[in-house]
Amino acid sequence: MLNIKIQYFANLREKAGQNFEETKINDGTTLEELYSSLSSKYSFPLQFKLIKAAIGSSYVQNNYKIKDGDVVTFIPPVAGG
Amino acid sequence: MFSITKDAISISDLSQNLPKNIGGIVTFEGRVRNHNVNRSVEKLEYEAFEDMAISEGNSIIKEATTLFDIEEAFCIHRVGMLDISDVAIWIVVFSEHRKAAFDACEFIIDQVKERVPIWKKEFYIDGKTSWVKCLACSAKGVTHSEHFHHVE
Repeated sequence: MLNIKIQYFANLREKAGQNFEETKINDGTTLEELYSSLSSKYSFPLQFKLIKAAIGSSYVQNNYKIKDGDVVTFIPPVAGG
Repeated sequence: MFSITKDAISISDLSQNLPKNIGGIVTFEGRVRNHNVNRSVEKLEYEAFEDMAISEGNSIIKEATTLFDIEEAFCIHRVGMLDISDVAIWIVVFSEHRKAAFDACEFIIDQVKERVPIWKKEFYIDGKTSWVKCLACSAKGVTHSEHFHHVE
């Protein structure tokens, strides 16, 4: 099992009802599988294909292998400026 | 340098202590307007993943100084609740010649809109709200009508 922290922003934060949570996932869980699980739990309004992922403060590709201790942030489409 | 502020952005007097080789200064002010996609906006709220926004914003500034012949560029983005006409983002670019400054400024705002983890929630006069999604905003040819919103 991997211990990770998940961070939420914008409409994902509103649906999750929290800024972050700590959770355990099975080793080998993909970002898409993790998002799908959270989406079912919190009824996220966005499909995974519209989401980017970050580990720490850096974007990662969707095939990134989640590691123990990672801080995962699912980034909804950004709208700065 | 890219920074985030919760305070109102005060447009600085840029004429103080300018290096003598600077021939062109281009600034951009992104302000809150009272409409978007045919809806009347009352106010809006910006939210940022601050550490990553600063990191990504600084990467964009660094890229701008590499891609364009400019001396320096700064960008400040405000977060929190903003009223109509408030400045949300301010960019300033210094260069010897104007073309590079114009091009770099456009590059920076386009890339900020595309990459920096900042989100915007619009509050409409009918009481509804929505998170604005600007997909591929920096792509040429994308019009405002192609922005779509998730209305709460």
